[in-house]
Amino acid sequence: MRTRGNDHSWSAGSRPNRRRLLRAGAATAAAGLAATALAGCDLLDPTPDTPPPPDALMGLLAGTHALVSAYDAALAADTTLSTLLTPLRETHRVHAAALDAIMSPRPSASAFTAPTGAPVTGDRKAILKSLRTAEVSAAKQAAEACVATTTSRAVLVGEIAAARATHVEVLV
Amino acid sequence: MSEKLAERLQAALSAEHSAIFAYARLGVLLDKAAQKDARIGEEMHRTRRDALLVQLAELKVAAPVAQAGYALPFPVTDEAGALKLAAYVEDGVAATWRAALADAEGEVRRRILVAYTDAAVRGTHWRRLAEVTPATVPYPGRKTQ
Repeated sequence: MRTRGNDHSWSAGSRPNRRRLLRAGAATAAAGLAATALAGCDLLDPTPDTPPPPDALMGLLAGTHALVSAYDAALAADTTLSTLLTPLRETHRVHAAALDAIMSPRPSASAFTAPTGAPVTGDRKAILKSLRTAEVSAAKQAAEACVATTTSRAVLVGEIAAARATHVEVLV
Repeated sequence: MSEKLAERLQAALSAEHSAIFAYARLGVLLDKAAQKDARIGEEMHRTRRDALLVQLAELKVAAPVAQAGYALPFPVTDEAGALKLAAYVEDGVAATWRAALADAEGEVRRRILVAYTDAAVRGTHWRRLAEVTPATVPYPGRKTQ
């Protein structure tokens, strides 16, 4: 912004004065600050256009949501299974929330808007057998994830693996 | 091999000792089918105990010895009490193995996970026989949930 002071200083010709030196110094400092800010930005976020890689537990979380969907479908198909299946579905929901809370970056909720699975058909026995198969395979997935994960996550992922195995025990 | 892991394995061994003792006490109160399950359970805990003795010897760490007797957490005089005790000891074993997970890596962690899962499943089995509903918990072996 030009001011009367500015006008006055410029009108004084090329002779350096105190005000012009101060102004020049301030401009240099500002430019330096801007450069530092940009450099800092680069340092923290080298590729701002590339999203960070998904968390290593993404597959386990996806499997957890798939189990919830499988229980949803089974419960819709046979309401007499409600007492048995509702607590199991709730456990998978609790696990999904617990995984969600520790993952980085936080998974987007829309990633799991369940692909409405094929409607469940068959009698009670067939439904339980299909859930049992899903839990056995999901327990294996969680066990592998537990062995591969970090120290700080080993207990939670191990708990999920063990819980899935216990579900197989009651799906009879 | 961390010192912490050695302590966790010692705790697991103590839990396995007490489970073996409990199974020997409760078996006679169960019906025939459940007695068979109890024998299989007891055998599994003996196997784990023996594996732990080898593992601790390799680590040159003292192995806690079994006590002559263990105080039962509640009176066990009938089948219901026996089933409750069986679930109780499996929960205790599961808790000690669960606690060791974070102190091990790779194949050692895998073996700990297998022992933990086995106790969790067996505890669930006993609760199912006792008709406890639900027989499962979201986080097996976790004290507060």
